[in-house]
Amino acid sequence: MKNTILFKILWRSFFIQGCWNYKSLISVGFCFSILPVGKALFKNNPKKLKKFIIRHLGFINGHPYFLSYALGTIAGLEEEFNDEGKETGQIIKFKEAMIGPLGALGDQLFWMKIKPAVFTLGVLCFFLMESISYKIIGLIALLMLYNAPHLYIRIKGIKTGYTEKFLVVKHLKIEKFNKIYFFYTVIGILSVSLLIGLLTEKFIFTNIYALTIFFTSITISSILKAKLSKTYLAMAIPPVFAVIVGLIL
Amino acid sequence: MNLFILSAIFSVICLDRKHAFQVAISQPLVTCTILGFLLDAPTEAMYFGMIVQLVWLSNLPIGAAKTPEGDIGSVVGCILYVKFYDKFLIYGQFLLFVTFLITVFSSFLANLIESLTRKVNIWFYNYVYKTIKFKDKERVGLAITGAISIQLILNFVFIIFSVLSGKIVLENLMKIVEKVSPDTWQFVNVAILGSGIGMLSNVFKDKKSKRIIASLSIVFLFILISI
Repeated sequence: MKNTILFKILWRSFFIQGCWNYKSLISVGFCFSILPVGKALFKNNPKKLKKFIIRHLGFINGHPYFLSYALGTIAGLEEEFNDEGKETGQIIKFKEAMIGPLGALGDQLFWMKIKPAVFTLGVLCFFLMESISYKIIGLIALLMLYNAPHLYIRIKGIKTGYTEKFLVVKHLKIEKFNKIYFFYTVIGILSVSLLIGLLTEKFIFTNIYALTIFFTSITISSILKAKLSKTYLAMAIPPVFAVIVGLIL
Repeated sequence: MNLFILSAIFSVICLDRKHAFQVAISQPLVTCTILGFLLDAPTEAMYFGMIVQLVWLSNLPIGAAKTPEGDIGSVVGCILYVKFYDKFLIYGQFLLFVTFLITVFSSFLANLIESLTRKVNIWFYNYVYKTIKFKDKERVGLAITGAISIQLILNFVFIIFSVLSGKIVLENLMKIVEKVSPDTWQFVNVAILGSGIGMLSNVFKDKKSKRIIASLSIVFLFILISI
């Protein structure tokens, strides 16, 4: 398959969540992304193209970046099965089997590690730097720090999926991303720790009430969010508590 | 800058959250920085972005889970914070308190709108499916374009509506804020930062990470005190 087709899949994959719905979840975006493959393989066969589209409108969900592995795999399999005249039922079963790993990997790596780490580092940089120019430079560096693994996963996913096909599963393990995982875990932990240290140092000798409110807010929001899953209360109660303390003092 | 132009720009940027690209330009640190330059108040806007950024990082959009739409909420809050900054002066922390609560409330409302668009998108899915199955016509691109366009329009209307509503609230509060001492609000920024760090415990869930963070915080504290 031509690289231009794979590039079209990559470009379209940036809109894969454009039509997220409760019935088929991400399927419209998935079909939109894989459509160049169908048009390339079945341009002179409208009936096969129709079956291709219906096939890929089926239920699917996953992490938007890691779905590139599914897109690459499906592109490779559709091409192979079309060349060999095989039935496509196996492709759909394989696609459905990938839903779990693609979601779990992406959630663990990006939503739980990379994004919190990068933007906590961002807050730390904004806190430390006074110059606006340095803050802008820091922000651009942060976006690069976030998007480097993001784009790497998207591009690698399509290429690996296309070449490995069914064997792509051996790449869909968290152990394969250990270096990225470890790197961003270290960034996240260091950033949070330094931020807590800096804020504590700022108040410890100047304003004991601010220090108390800081740690009380951490405790309240931690309990409300992590233990009771009360997200909005975890956000709103600490500042309200701070105002009540301010009124009393 | 005109509110309509601001809303137009940020209704596009906020698509980055889920519907297009997802390169993290809709995060509060980024949107508030851009807002700051557009409104000629980069310091105030970046400060607001820094304060509110952490509270949204622990919301994990896993599977079909809906999370607070903090990105668009932060845009609303930041516009109000910057626009009213010079009017509240010594009551800056009060302004931060109110705009933060408006941000949280806006994120809640935007979350409800997200539920609505997910249901509307079922119509797009059905349209695409039935058109290809019974009429042999491919309309996938049209569905994606339609769904993203509807989200764009909703973002636009939402930002305008929320900012105008917030403006009414703040203008009324301006009349009564002087009845309370400015010191009442002095700990608001600390509390919001604390709230954000506390919520990150949802991300660093395991005991090992928590122990390392606690230990490193103490180490950094001692280093900073001795410098």
